Amino acid sequence: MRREAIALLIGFAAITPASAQLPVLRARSLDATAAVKIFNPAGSIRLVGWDRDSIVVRGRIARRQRFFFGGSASGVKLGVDDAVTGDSPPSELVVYLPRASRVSIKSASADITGTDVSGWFASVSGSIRLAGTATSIEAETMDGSIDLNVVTPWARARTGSGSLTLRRAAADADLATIAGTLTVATASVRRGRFSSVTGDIRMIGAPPVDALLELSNHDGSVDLLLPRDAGGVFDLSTVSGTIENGFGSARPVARVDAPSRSLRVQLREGGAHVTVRTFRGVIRLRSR
Amino acid sequence: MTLRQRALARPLVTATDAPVLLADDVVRRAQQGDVDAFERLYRVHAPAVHALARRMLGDEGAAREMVQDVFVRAWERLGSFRGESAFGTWLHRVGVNLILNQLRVTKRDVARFIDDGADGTTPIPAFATSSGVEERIDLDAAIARLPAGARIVFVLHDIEGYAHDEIAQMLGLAPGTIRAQLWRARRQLMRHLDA
Amino acid sequence: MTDSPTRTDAHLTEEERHGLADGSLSPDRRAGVQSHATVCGDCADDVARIHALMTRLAQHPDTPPAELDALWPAIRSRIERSKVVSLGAPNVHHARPWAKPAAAVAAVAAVVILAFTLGRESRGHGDDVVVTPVTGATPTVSVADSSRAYQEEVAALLEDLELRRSMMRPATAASVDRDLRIIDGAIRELTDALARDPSNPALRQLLAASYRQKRDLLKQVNDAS
Repeated sequence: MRREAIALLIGFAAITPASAQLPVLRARSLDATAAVKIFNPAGSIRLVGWDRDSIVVRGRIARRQRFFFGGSASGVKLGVDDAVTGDSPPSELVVYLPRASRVSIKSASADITGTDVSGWFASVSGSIRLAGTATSIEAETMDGSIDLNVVTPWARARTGSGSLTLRRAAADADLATIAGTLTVATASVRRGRFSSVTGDIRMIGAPPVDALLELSNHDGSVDLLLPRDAGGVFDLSTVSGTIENGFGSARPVARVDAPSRSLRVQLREGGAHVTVRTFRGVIRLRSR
Repeated sequence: MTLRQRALARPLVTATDAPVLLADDVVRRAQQGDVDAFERLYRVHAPAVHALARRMLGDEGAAREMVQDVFVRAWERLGSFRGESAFGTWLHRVGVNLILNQLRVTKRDVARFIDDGADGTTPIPAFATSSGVEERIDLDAAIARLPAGARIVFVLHDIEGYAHDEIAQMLGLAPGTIRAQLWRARRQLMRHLDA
Repeated sequence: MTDSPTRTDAHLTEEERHGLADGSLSPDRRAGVQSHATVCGDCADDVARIHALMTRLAQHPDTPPAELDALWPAIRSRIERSKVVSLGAPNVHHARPWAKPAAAVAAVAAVVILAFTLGRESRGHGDDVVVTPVTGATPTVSVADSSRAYQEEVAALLEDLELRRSMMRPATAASVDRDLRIIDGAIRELTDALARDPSNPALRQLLAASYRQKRDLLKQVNDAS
């Protein structure tokens, strides 16, 4: 596709009262590393990273909503304006954009899904599901869930009550929930911080050699599910919770003057260093 | 000679006129739980750790906290040091890993919106001055202004002497990406210094 | 990229410029790249600028050591609190396997268990390594110091939140308030526990984690507005 601007105006910016939703279609050339800013208050946003030097947006916009699309080859803003009063009706957008572009997405309740895209993804109550590969991922939602099935060097994610799951490779990960369940189902994180206040944390798989991981939880539990041949040093401490050690017979040592307990477990030589702290949550070191 | 090479070439001396202690002996005693011996290691190696932390973190306060964290971590992992490299080299690697850990989990926002217009540079840090600066402060201030990713790669390669492949492994990136970041850092540094 | 002895038709790539300047170019490519630089003023000037930066870095004087002596007491304090000494093996190496009675060897042969307390007295267990009493260790980093930075940042963000509250959707405001209640509850419990047990480093770290959660939540709300 040629690099000069291409304008395909097939959709309508204004909605006619007789239609519940109207289709939109926009496209233009876009630099490979352009910045793309997207806003859709409700409905859904689907992103597809591709290898073309252009951006294409198609979708269906709710009645009385205004669709905007503008910018240049180095950056584009697009989306649906928020309703003036009340909740915005849902609009569905599908955006094809260069893989290396930097995305910034904001939504109130729209669900966000993406494949081979990188950047910042934020929804107040919608869910965020990302897959493929990315250069970095930053995802935030208060009530929705986050599912990261993506290979990326760096991932940062926050949820409130929703669940948060990291499935594929991330060298560096900073994940936190307030009440939602946090699951780290990958053995690739080399530097990680995983925390919750009342949600349960589960880490599945042996951390890589030289990994530095910190897990903290106030009330929720922390479960480390490791293969029997896992290696590393695990420093476990809880102020008023309990520690269950599924590797060997050692039990946590309690302080004489306080209810806190701690246990350091070294599995094989060298390996990762994993620190787990809870206030009241139970800590379980288990073999798979 | 990179700073790393110069730091490793520095002899181990005590603060008094007492005879020079063999580094191996001091490390061995520290591994056996002798905190006083570990303090000797601290006196020698803390400046290099501090310089590394300050360049990579770009902030004096954060660098001083990191010095503490690095030495506490080094104490905890003394058992894994087997003398296959110089103690300073091993300590340096402990420091780099810890600093990268902190940088990653406290990463600031990248330029999210087109309107922000940021070129990724950071404000001049507090320890830099704006006029009549000495060579050292000029260069340190310029380095601190680099974007975080480029600064990390630049400090690790051009100042600390790590190879591209080593840095690529540390950061989980392709060597080609590391080289590109390094060139970008040099270009930005030249612009800052020429300004 | 071809390795012709002299290239006059195309300027050097970024890789070649930097490689020539810092000496990292492979020998088999260096000759061709060098030849081009001798006939191309633009490329030669650019390589020279990069090389000048390299020279400046190499001549960069060592930064005088900062006053780092003041950091040692805090480091020592943290070390003393986590110091581990094993009974019956005064030169134990942390990575060495721990010898076990025969009956337990099969179960723990691949495992070295080191148990340590956070307190001041030792307890004996049949198969645990015991900590010697920690003496003379007084905390040098107060709770107030470690949390102050977060508290200041959170206070500013709370002010922003109140300004934005009237513009927030009711459901969003309810979610924020719910999450803040959860976090504030944790902070209260941790602060109370620290008041009773100020020498507990785990409590300080948990408190810092809770403040971080609160800060991140408030930033998230501001970004979403």
